[in-house]
Amino acid sequence: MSDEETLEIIFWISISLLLTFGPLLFSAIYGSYYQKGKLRILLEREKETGKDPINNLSKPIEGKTVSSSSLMWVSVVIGPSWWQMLLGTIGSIFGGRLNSYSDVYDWARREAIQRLRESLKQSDYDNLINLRVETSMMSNSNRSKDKTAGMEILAYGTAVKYE
Amino acid sequence: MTTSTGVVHNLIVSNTETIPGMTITQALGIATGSTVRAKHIGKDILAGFKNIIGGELKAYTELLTEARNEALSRMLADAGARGANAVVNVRFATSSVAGGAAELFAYGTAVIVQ
Repeated sequence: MSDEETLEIIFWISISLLLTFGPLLFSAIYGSYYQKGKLRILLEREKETGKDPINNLSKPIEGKTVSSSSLMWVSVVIGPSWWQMLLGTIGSIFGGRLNSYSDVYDWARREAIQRLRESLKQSDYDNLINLRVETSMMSNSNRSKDKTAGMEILAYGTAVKYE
Repeated sequence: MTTSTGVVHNLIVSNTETIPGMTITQALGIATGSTVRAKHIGKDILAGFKNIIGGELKAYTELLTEARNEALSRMLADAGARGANAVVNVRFATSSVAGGAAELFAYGTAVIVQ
């Protein structure tokens, strides 16, 4: 076997390896970089909010009269990256804590609540009471090779305005 | 990122058991509204690519926001037809039906408040 043939074989093997594991590698490197960036932005936004106007009490604070109220809701659909799903699959063999999933779902819930705070700030309501956070999975059709996995976080509550 | 305007069809909507600052004089039964939406194939492909790096799937967020607005407005139309001027204790439910479609359901008690 000549040198040229060996090089050609190495070339094709590396191409096929890249096509197989390239997206996963991209998912692992760029995905974690992207998600860390989003988390940093969220932390800054949470700091800017200051005093938290949201609670999950079923009644407004005693001693204040409410002049108007309205339902307010926000939903966020979130998906873990392929790399995180792979880590989750491997992790679920052994059981225990799945950090890869908990990071992305924690981010999603906080993002939904933070968006609620921001839309509360934009509107002229003072407080949001009776907060509920609900979760639902986007269905994966069984027959297809569809790898999309999404989780919907819905946060809703009653916005109130004090006199 | 859309939120409901709150007063649609001139109804007050709340997920608390009473409308804060008002009293319920009459309960008119359950008002419901639902809609079934399927994933758009083009958006599905885009969301599939976004899934590689994870994070928010904006196409689905928009789809579900729009669908939930529709379920909510159907619920309000139902309440309006009963002669209510408010809907209290509103709850949302989501369930997936066959073929990648989702059913969004909103329900609450239609009441008359003063």
